[in-house]
Amino acid sequence: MFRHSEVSAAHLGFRAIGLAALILAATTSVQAQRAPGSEGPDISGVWWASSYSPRIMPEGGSELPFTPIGRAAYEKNMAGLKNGTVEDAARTLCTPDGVPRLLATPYPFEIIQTPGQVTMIYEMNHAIRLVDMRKPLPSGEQLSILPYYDGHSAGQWEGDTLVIHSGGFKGTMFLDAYGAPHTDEMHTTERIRRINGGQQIEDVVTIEDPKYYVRPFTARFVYDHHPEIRLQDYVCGEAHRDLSGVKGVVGF
Amino acid sequence: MLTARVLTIFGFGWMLASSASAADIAGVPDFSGLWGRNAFDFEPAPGSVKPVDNLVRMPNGAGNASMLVGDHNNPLLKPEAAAIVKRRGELALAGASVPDPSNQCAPFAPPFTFSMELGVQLLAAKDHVTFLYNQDDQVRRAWLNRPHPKNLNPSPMGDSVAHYEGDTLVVDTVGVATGPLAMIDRYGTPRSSSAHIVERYRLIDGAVAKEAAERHIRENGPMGLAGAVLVDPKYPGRGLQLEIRIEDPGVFTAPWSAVVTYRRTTGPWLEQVCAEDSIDREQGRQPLMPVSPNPDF
Repeated sequence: MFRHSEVSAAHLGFRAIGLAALILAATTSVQAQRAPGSEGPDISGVWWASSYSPRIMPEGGSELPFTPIGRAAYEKNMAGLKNGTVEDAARTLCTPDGVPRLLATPYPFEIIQTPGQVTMIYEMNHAIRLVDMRKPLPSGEQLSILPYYDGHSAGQWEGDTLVIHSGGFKGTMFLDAYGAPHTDEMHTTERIRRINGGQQIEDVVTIEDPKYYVRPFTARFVYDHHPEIRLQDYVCGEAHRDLSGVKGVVGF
Repeated sequence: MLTARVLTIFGFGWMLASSASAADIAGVPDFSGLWGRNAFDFEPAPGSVKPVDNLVRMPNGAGNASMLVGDHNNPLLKPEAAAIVKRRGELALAGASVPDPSNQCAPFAPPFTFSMELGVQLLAAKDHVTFLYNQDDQVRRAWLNRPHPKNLNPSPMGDSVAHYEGDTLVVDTVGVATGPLAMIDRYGTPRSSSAHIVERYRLIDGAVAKEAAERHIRENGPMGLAGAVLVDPKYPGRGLQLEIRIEDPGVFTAPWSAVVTYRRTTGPWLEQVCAEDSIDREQGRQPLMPVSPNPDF
């Protein structure tokens, strides 16, 4: 973030190296992903979840499959969030939630499909995710040079389903509001498609993070179509839209 | 077909964009893709008084992007506005960190948006155009072919309506909320609740865009090491030019215009999160930094 004169030369230099590496990766890396196809089915519009859970719920009702160090990180986060030694910056300072926490948002979001890109714009914290439909995702090693809160994403259509691979996350964030941890090596795969006659979409996300989780696990999020809603400007700390209709939201 | 596939896989999909655009199909100009520039502030528009610019110059004559002292003698400024610009310049010269939307993580409301943001995308949908700016994930929307609401409540980004005039996208914005950070530019030129901003976007010849962008860097100073966006020097196509017209009778002696020239960037889209640098080592949190002590969920 530029502060006019307060730009750190070292920081920018590091970013420049990372940026150059990513550009190189984009032009040299071909993973085993299918080449991008057509623009795909229409999933554009405004979508809004009707329920919210502060805890990520693995499909099948299982517990999060922590490794020993993953469990230790979780317990440390939970205790720190409770006693104030760990700050939930996504809520107090409005830094981005990142995937998959962002998927639990009780605020509406919009999907826009344009040539070569699927864009997700979240009302909360005016977060933006860009899904590149023209290039495969660079390797985790390449992405680690320039980690993002929301990660880097590349997608492809598989029939009626948009498959998004994401990596290159910062490792300082949580999977959920309880502080379930992830590392900067996390890789997520989302499968998004219209369901229920097109009036809803589901986003089934698989999380792989071997340092903290012994096996990949999956969570599912469902959103209702709300063509009547326009996303509002969002300013951190100010009053926003009424969330009382979203089941599971507390604090009103 | 094979060529197209190879170009796509290896990251040169922009070469195909003009033939693949949904916007083209809909009969409107295609402004999609990543655009950027490498200098802040407005460019002068032909026939208009030049915008407020920097009094502090580098030895090569370029504006000093690290010391923001606006020219308070600019004839566009009414006395009260000139006094504000002068006072901010004095504070900057004294070494103070003068609050603005960028260093306080506030909305980059138009027209400050255009003076500050270096990366932009225009996403066309059937009833609106969305503008994405990479610095702090700023988002604006302009609604196509509808008037401003009669009873307009001010909002952080204002109410923007748009229409196409041939190859030009015209965006009209009013109702931008005011407050201590309501400003036109990085020099703190104030903005009132009466501000009326008209944007006109069109594609221009690539060589003309290159010349304009490079001239602006020479005159205004580059943004710094590395740059926020990397302009693609080999891109053979057209540039994007934004012409802005600003009316704000309480602030300016007359309406005025400015230009912002964008070129294709190599990407990737840079994520720049303001709040991650929210702790000032000496002053603690920035004074106007938004925080949410009681999140709503």
